[in-house]
Amino acid sequence: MNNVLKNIGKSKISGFVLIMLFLGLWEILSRLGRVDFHYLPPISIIANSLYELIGSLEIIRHILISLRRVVMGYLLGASVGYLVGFLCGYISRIYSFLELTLEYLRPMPSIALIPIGILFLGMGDTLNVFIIGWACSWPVFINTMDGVSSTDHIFLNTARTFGLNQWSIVKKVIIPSSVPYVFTGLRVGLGIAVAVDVITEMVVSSSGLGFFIITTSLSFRIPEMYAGIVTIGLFGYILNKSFLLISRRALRWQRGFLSAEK
Amino acid sequence: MLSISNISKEYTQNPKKRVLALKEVSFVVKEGDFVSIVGPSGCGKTTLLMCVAGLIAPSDGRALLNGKVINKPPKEMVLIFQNYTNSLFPWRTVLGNVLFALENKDMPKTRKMEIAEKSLMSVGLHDFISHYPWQLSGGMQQRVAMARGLAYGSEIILMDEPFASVDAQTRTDLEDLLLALWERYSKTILFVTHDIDEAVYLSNRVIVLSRRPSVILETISVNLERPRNQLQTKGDTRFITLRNRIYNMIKS
Repeated sequence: MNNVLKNIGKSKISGFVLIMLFLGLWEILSRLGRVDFHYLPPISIIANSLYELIGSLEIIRHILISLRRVVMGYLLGASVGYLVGFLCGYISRIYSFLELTLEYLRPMPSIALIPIGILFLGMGDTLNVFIIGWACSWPVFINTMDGVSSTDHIFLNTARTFGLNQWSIVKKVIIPSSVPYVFTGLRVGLGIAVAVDVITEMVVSSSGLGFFIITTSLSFRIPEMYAGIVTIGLFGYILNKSFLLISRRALRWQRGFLSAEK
Repeated sequence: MLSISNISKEYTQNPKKRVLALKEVSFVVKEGDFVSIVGPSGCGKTTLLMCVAGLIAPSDGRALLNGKVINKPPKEMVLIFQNYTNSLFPWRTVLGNVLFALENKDMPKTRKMEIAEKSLMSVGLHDFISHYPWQLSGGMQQRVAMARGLAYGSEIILMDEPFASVDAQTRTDLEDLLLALWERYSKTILFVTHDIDEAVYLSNRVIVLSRRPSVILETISVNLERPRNQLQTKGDTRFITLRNRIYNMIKS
């Protein structure tokens, strides 16, 4: 028994077992009428509904629309966040100048900007992209700024003693040494991008996964609503996994470096 | 020739608190010389070296290299830091780190590779070319830093307590390696250390600094035969006499 307990959490299989147990319990409770059958349909019905939605390509269309908005918003937000973060980290005077403005804007929920966005951008994709970009630029900005401004001074002095000019120092020392920070910001930003995309679609769009789950909910197409929510979960999961795959390659040195320091 | 004339350095963290680290320090390092600077911890040894390297500006006085004022790191000079973990770039391999020294040189890539490989060979690390620094021991990392300094090809090598954070045995190995390289490539070395034995063992001359504000207490010539030997040289009565003299000077 002790051994079994020890092994829980170690293997990936135990993670699947947990999910299967959870789904099984859901199925049983719903079938037994312990919870409202209509509000929480059995998982088998949800699965069937998802299967039909995929077959009719309806949900695929929403996935592609959401994906395009997330990618465009993310690219916009990440680039702006990186550029401003780099400048603020590299030239502290720029940060001193912008600090008050940025620190006022940063805690503001991006959703609160939707009304302004509607006035200036209308209700189309540009609005989603802009709100997503706004929201996910902040973690990229903060982490890039930290990474750039905390470049080890011995790195910088080493580069100077080898006669590198300022541009080469930026390219060969500051940018590579800040990469781990930047990736942290990018990863947080990606999660935010998905969340904000869903919210904007629920509020202003007539397409996308967020729109799908809110309309199915309002029209009591409950199994389809659950199918949509499951899809959003998978959507975020796959995006995050793909991101990790890329960042592992880019940060191979850092993992070794950190484990060597321990 | 490297000549330091009347260098003073005052740190002002805030207007009320001024710290005078160095006071009117002057000395000369001739070509091919091996000079060490010793002093109690917290004296201005490293500050002095940074002024010589052109990384910080002295408050008064100047450092001259062949008659020219040093106000930025000159290409005839390279500095090897104490903290090798932070001076080697963890995202570059051993070879990549050595090639960094040639980043700014105008020469074909194949030539750069040749120089880098030769430098790594001379510190005995040619089998570790594609390792990352963090895969190597502290002593090996410091040898990479030395190879990088060699690859740069400058006549003068400044070293800031380079062997302070390795174990005693590695340290003696690195000392002997440094002496061998110094003789083989006829470099000029200015070496900062807090270890009196190390200073006497390595150098032609030892400059002894006082507590802050640091002034030169004395410059001591070390007339011990070369090549030096860890056992014979350090057992020699002249070595012991010199070491004791410097020890008493620093303690008093």
